[in-house]
Amino acid sequence: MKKHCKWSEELSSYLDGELGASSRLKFEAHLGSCFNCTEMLAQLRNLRHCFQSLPQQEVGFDLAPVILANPAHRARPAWRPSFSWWQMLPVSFAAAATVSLGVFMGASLSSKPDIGLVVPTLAVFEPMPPFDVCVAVMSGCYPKDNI
Amino acid sequence: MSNREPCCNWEQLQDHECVVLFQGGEQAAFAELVRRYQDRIFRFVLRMTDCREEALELTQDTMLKAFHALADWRPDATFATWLFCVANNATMDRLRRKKVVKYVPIEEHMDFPDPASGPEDTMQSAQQYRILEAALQRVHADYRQILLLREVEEMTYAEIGDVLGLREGTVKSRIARARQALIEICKGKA
Ligand SMILES: [Zn+2]
Repeated sequence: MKKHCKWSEELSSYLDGELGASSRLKFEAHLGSCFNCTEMLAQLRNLRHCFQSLPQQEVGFDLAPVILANPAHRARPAWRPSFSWWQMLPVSFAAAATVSLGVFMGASLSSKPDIGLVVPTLAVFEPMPPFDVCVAVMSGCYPKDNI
Repeated sequence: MSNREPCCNWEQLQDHECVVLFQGGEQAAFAELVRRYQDRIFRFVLRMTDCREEALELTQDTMLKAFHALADWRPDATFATWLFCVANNATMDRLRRKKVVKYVPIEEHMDFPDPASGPEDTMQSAQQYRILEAALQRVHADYRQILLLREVEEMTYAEIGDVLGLREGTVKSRIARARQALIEICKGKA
């Protein structure tokens, strides 16, 4: 509201019935002596009448069967999370970045070998499983298909 | 969709009762909610977008979102304010994506009605709502939405705050500014 008096901010709230009881009484007392507030309030009331005269457009048909028959319900039941290819993009980027970093670090090591570095020789594992596992397989604790 | 046998008087049920029934698997309860709100949501969106096809699409989107989201809905606010919140978010997203500001000219002779004359004299003609509809398309979308919620939907400041995620003090000042802006446009001063 344009500030033509200290009450101009409250005009709108008064029209909407959102002023507290004491403020409303004070404002109504003020209205009797303030031409500007009276005129502004009349304009706001006219605006409200204009809104009420707006045509009441309608959808024109029952939307409910359309919504309930929507294929989105069948394609995406409420109990199952949906995944789209774009939702996997961050994971794909992270995986690609990890592989790239590994290749880069490996390449860095191999391109500048440290001559003074002593690489310990790795022990070769026994081709046979430990004894406990062999016993378990033979005694039937583990289905052979799962090993 | 199930038939109406479990509850024959759908119209007598409160919104939140329909929601509870729907959450229990009664799809007909959701159909009742759609029937109650489809035209209100449609009119709100239509006046925001000024395009019937777009409004229809957004109304359907709103109901579809409601269908999926209602399973987890808890009545912190009323169903009506929640549904309008869904519709408003979808509409504002659409408007932001379009980034199109329509300029709807208002004929010079269509002056805002003289407040000195009575409402019966000034508000009956079809011309007045055409002035208002044109002015609504020229006012800022934030003002348009809040005025529609207040003047058409007749929501309280608290309810509007729920729909728009604003404090009541902000709602109060924004409505006052929106009305002033709209009146200025109607008068041809903006
Ligand atoms: Zn005053």
